[in-house]
Amino acid sequence: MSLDFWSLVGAVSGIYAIFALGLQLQFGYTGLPNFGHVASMAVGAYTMAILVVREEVPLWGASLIAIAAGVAFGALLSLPTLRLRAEYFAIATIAISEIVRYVALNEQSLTGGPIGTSNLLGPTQVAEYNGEWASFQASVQAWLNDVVGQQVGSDFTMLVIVWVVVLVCLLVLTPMTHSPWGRVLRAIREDEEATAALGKRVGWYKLQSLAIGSGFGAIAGLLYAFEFQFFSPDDFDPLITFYAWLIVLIAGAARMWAVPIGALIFGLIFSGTRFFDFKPFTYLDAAQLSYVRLMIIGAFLIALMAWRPQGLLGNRDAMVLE
Amino acid sequence: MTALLEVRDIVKHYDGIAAVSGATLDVEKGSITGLIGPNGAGKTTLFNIVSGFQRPEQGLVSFGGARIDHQSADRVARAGLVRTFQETKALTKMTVLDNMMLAAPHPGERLTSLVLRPRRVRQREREVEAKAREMLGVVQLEDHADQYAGTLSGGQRKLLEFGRALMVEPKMVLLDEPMAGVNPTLGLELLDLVRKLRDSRGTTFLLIEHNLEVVMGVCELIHVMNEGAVIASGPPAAVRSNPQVIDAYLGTRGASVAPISGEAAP
Amino acid sequence: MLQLLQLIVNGLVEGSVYALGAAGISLVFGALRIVNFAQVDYLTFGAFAAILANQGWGADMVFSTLFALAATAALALLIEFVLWRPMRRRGAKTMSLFITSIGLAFILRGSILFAAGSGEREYRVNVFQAYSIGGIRVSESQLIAVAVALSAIVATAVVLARTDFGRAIRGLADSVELASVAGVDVDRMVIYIWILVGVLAGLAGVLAGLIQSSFDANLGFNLLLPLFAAVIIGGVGSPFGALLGGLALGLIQEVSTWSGFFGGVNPVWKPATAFAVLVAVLLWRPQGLLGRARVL
Repeated sequence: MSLDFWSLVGAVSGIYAIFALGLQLQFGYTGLPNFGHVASMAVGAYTMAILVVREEVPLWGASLIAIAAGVAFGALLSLPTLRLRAEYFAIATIAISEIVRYVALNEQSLTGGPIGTSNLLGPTQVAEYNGEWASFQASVQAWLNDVVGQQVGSDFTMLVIVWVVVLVCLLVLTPMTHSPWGRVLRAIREDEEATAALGKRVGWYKLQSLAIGSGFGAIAGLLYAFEFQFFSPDDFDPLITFYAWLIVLIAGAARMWAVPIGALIFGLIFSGTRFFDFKPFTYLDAAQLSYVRLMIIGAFLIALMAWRPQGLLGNRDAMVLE
Repeated sequence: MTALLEVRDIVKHYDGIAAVSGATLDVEKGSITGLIGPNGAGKTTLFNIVSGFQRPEQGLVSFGGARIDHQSADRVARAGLVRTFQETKALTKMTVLDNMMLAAPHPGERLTSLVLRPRRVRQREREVEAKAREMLGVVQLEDHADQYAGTLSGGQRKLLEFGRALMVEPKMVLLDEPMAGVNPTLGLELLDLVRKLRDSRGTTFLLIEHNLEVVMGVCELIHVMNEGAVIASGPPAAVRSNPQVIDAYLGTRGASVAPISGEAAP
Repeated sequence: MLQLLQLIVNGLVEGSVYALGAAGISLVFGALRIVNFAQVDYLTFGAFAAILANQGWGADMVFSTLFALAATAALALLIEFVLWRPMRRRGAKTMSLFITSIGLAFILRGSILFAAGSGEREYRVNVFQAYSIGGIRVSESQLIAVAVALSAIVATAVVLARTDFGRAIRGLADSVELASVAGVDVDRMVIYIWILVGVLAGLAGVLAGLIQSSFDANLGFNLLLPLFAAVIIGGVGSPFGALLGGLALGLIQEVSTWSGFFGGVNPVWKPATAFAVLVAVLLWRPQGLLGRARVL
């Protein structure tokens, strides 16, 4: 297949990598099973789009505010849920993310409703937020053309931009998690009581973890918005969170660098199902193929739990799950 | 002169049964005090209440003159009162060294310091590591520093938890059955350490222990609990010959009791 | 006033379905310590099994429902033997089991979608047949659903409270160790529990489909929040609590839209109401109405 196709796969994998990095901080490092992570993506994307389209805030400013909104969302998320035990925390976070999606779907005046961002200025005008980004992307593309020596496509440009952001995220997160602050998070993950017994403010650390992780989710949401130039509430389905979980489970606990690798593996497998043009898959139509994909993901999750709970790339001794 | 730790009339119920009913005791600063009693007497529950892991229904606890009875566990620990657990809580997915370094107060645990004062954070990290290795030497775990704590034996984990509690530089340590599961030689060294720490740093110790020989040997004052209340307090000799204490252990008054078996009290 | 009564009736109808679904979740958690994320898909399975009988074979609703109960119970047992038992033998605990249940949910939902497609389904019932009782409008489906559900709820409560079987289940929920020491054949009890849970889930699914007039493969997932909220509100670990919690939640959701209640909550926000109630319970009475097990 073409470079453009694989660039798209690579770019989307990169976006998922950033998304999953946030989740890795929350779950892999702090032990908080956030199953509503997609909400932070939605918060980031919608905040930016609304600010750009309605309030005519310049893109970069809107993006920074969107990331801050993601962080604030994570902090808010922690308040009612912090004292919940693992599985109930998980379900509460799913509930919150569904409510966020619900708001996006129903508050048409705020978010454009089910039609999505093109409806942000009402039905008479097609709203676009991507203008400034498109020019930024074009200048990057021109620069790449010079560097590479031949014409690169916009998909490839996006790929480069996304993975530069992935690198920056890793450069920020890695020293954070290797620091004494990260040490407290890992202790909380394993045993909150023991950590509290040493005088650490466990609740505050959990809040920080959720907030910062959601900030990364918001960044992923922004890049998603720029990549596809348009989105609607359906783009923030709970299934997206589960993809991030798959990536985190592949990467294994408390390993930041493994997350992008997990995201690439995931991206390859996911888009690879396109190429199942051999029997028996040829008997299936697109919808049925997506159902089969759902079942394969489910089976994969179970297989991971049964045979490699430390993650595909993880270390058994540092295993987080039990 | 007020005691460092004052416990007054603590009451706590579970499912309608009184786990602690009117417990009162004092622990003097710089002392090594014991807390003994048959299984089910409420000793660990009292520990949990004093250290902030549970809230009392009635009564008060004051530490260093300030009330701590409804404070959270982390706040109590920051006030200088730390504890170990009956079932050791060594952080098995982290290295032994990490376990120790975790405990020391450290500006690097705040994100603002990480960002704004990285050099100070690095410097403190070096100090803490040195201190941690030194303490590991004291509890004889220095060879295991880079192993995952999960690979340690039960007795070693007890030592790790003990050393870790000391890294906090506490004013007082509550030791919940420090001898259980530890081989006798190591146990004696641990007690030696307790004495040394008290002598050199003035750290106060309150220990729950079922091994009566140990308690009689190292504690200056012993409180005895039975059925949720403190029934006797005094020096070892007095407690040993106290008829109520003997009754409590031998069950002639119908108290639910097993001989000193090392079984966990709730 | 009439509006309020109507809302109360609607709330009871909804709440009784919640109660049945939540009781199953509570039983599974109590006896097996699994928070079964896929439980809601057992409901979907039951609803679609009834569709198969009702639409596919032309059977009447009574037979279809009974078929659905049997099919869901069989499914629950199959999953126990193929998945839960082996995972338990491997020593899997809370988080692993939870993630496993998520994988199971995907497999179940994917299979149902694969077999039945994503379109909406409905039972062959007369949706226009309605009764007016004292001015309150109740459709035939709603009437049947609430009658069946309330009977099932009462029956379940009686079984749990009065029979040896029920006592054994509750004993298991309190402590698996104690139960096996007391001579209870834990493995066999687990089988009985899954059968009961399967029946409750299948019934809840069929009834949910009935009162919604049309539904798709997301039937169960849409009930995820209300069901788990009901379990937590009623108190984790107490099937009675789950029954009460379900009824309470249904009532609160409906009555909150009453215009006499500060103008009434916009019905569109009903899911948020469930969540708000959940949060309120967690903040003020975290053990729930009847609970003893720890959610925190």
